[in-house]
Amino acid sequence: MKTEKQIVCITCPQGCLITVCGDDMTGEIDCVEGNSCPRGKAYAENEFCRPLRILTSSVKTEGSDVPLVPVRTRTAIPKELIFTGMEVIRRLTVKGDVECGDVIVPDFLGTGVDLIASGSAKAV
Amino acid sequence: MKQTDVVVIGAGAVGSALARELSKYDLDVTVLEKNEDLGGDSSRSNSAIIHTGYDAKPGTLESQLVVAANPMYDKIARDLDVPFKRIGAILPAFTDEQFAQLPALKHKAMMNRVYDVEYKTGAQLLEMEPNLNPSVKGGLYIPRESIIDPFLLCIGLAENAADNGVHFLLGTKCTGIKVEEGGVTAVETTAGTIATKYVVNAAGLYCDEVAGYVGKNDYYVTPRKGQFYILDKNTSCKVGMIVLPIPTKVTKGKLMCPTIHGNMLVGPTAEDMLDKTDKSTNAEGLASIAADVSKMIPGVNLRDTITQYCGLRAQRNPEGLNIDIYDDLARYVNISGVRSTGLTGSVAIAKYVVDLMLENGLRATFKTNFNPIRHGTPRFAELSAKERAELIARDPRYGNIVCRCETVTEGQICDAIHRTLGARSVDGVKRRLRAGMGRCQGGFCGPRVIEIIARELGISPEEVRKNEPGSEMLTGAVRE
Amino acid sequence: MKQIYDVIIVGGGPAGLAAAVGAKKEGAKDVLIVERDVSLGGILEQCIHPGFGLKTFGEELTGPEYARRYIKEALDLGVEYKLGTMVLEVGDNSVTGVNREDGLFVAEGKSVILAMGCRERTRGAIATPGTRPAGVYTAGAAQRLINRQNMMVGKTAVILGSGDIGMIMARRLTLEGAKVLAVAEIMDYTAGLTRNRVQCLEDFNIPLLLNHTVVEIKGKQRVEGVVIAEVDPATKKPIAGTEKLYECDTLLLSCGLIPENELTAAAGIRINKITNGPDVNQFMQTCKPSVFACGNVVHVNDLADNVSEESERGGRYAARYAMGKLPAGKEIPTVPEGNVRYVCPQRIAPDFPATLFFRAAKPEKGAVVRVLADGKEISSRKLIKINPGEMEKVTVKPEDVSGAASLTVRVD
Repeated sequence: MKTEKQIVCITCPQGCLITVCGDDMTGEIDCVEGNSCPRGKAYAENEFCRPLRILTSSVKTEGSDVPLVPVRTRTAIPKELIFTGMEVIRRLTVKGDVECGDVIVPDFLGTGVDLIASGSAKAV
Repeated sequence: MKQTDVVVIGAGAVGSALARELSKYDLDVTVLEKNEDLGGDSSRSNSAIIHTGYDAKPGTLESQLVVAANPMYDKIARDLDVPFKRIGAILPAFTDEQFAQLPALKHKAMMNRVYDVEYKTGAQLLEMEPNLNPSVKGGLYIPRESIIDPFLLCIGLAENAADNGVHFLLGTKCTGIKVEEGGVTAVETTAGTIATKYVVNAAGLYCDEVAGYVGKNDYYVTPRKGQFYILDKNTSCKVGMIVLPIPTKVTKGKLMCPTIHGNMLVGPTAEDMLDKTDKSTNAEGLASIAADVSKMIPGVNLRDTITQYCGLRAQRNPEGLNIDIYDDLARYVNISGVRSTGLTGSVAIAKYVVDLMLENGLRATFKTNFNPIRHGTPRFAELSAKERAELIARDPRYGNIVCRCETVTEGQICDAIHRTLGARSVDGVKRRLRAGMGRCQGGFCGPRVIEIIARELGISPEEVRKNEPGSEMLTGAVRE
Repeated sequence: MKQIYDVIIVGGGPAGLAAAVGAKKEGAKDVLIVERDVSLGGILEQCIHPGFGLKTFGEELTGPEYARRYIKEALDLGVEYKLGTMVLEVGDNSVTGVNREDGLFVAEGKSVILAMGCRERTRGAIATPGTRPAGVYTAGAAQRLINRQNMMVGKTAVILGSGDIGMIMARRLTLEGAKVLAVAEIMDYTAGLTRNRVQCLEDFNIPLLLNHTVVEIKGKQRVEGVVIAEVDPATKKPIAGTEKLYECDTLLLSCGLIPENELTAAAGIRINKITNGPDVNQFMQTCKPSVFACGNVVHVNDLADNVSEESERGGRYAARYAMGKLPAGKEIPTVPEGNVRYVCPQRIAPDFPATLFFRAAKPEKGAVVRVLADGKEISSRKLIKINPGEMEKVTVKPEDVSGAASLTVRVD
């Protein structure tokens, strides 16, 4: 359906108000206005029909010096998968040494994006 | 059934002082406290002043005991390691009407045998307290009005009593008193029945309910709310003494004074209530403090507040401190009407009550091995560099500062938890050590204190409470 | 531990780490960081959300990832550090600290950098009436409990204040299965960044109540609810009759950050009344020439990236001072005017380039920022919009400033 959406860009603190018009079913975009950088344009185009977010949370550790290790999706995943992602994250446990950047779940939820450790833990 | 000689109901200032006084005799003494920690209700939320009794109603028991108590504090504070300072109070008059009241107030002090009250001129008062409203016309100086750490006073008294053999049952409420053949024989509690020879009702705010168990509730108690501000230690406008307003017919009014730890205390309100558990502050009460105190101290800056709290005074109706024994009820002492002067009066009330019991048939021998001395937890913030270094060398946990605002170490927290009648909750740690009482109000140390309490008590973090059951700090683990 | 360091840094968070890197890069030989927590990184360790590093590294990092880049760089450069160490006193050329291993110690430094960060405004400081139950947390304390200590603070929450940490915690609690009933903000705009309003509140349909505040906390043991009322936009006083009870077991506060300057004040360093941080020049030098300060201890920044940039600069100049290469000279004040709440640095050495950071007092669209030397305009720039939640900056060149007695930044 042809439509016009006002999108507040979240890629940087400036928070530009970007107007996108196009078809939000097909993803066909006619115009993008109000962005002040190419990242903003890309964000607005995605946000128009398929919003993406980086999911960050933490997973339980076992035999480590810290009770939790933070995790993130390496890049943004579809926004609608966030709560499904949390269900998976809640059930995960990592053991011993974890290095920042270690892949915790490859191809998280079939998105093609890995869930990685964003902090570290030491085995004890 | 548990057997004891004396049951004291209530571990506020009066109950704790009484416990310590009784521990000087070869008696088996049990103290009941409904709360999970020492300090009762009124005894821990008040203005923390040790009064002289200069303004008590002359000739009353309250006057007699408060006036007698004041000089006892130098030794008690030293023996029990309780921070205490004689800073003095002033009573400035700003209007002609107030000024005209001064002779009567001074005369009242004389009637109460507080002979060291002096007149001061406005200029003298301004020199003593430069932040006073410069329109001050003159006033009174009451040199022995003093400040104390009220938590540590109660804790010190109770802890010393326990070290001398008194049993404390915390989180245990008195639910009834058994009377047989005209005398008390047992106390029913939420933890079972305790057979006893004597019962002393020191239940403060709830003393009417306890008296009701033995049909001696010919009075009732209502709470009188007092709201206070605590200001930051580096607030722009401070006072060095207790600055008291000239009382009106309605109220003793709102004061400003330093706390023993260097904060400023401003308040209290006086609001008659019905709910004895309602310790909430309200916008109207807090606003009235600002309005009233700024008349005396125009520069008082309540925006420098770090917290506000509410205490409940036990207002007896009809009023007045009463310590009663009864012809038709043997071995029972009823203490009622302990109000704002109760923190001060407690140590004299204790002596009076024990003497009354001895006069009326209590048979007890003075112990030879009573130890009056309590060594409190080291106060790291007050130690010299040398003392600090020695402490850390002995126990490295004193090198880990947990509360940054008040400079409280892990070693102190562990000591406060593991000593006699130790801390069991976040507030328990806070009241004993001041961790979380500073300007960040536990923002930094709070999460760390929860961890230490759980570790030292061998409980899960979810079981750590702010104070009473139901005040758990956490709702579970993020990941089970 | 060495006897004398070139630079000693109090605090190992984003400011301290970047300052250490800056000092080393500038040629300081012995640099020591003194950190009170059990690891380096400071608050970044609990900020597991993304949004860090866009400016500095051109990619979106989480707090711990961002910290690790600086920690690695600092350690590779040979920066020394002490953990679990609280600094008790700062002198012109010394730091007195305490920890388990060394006990009390004094470390001497040719220069000292203050990088203690900030703390959160508390319930007591904003004087919210009501009871004092368990379940009232500052947003940052809750963040530490949840993200580092695996401790959940509540099941149903209200958040007072729309600071960034508050909005981020609204999302964090929601992801962890708690219900966030509302974020109440006394002002008519969010205190934090727009993008946090979008991705933390709007993404999860969390109501944002502007012009509202909590007027009462209820519950004797644990929070049982809070009463929220609308406020008069002009007076900020609650409007009678608009009170509404929100039943919840938790109240998080995100009502502002205060630079942590107890050590600074105790050292006799002049504190600015608006920023609550020390007055500095563009070298991040306080009124005591050997003592520098950077990051949130100076003024509360909007982004860690800005803290790093400012702190690396501070570290470089502290190193120069330690090596005797930072001459003292004439300084002129910077003055905020119009819709500018403060300018940092508060004074500059006019013979050197300077970047002036500032914040607006209120949101404004289509505003113009102008820099004036002795009242004469030396630069101007049009802004699409300006928000108090976001820091702005202008740079000035020595040739434009030369001879001026003061420099004014104004927004109209």
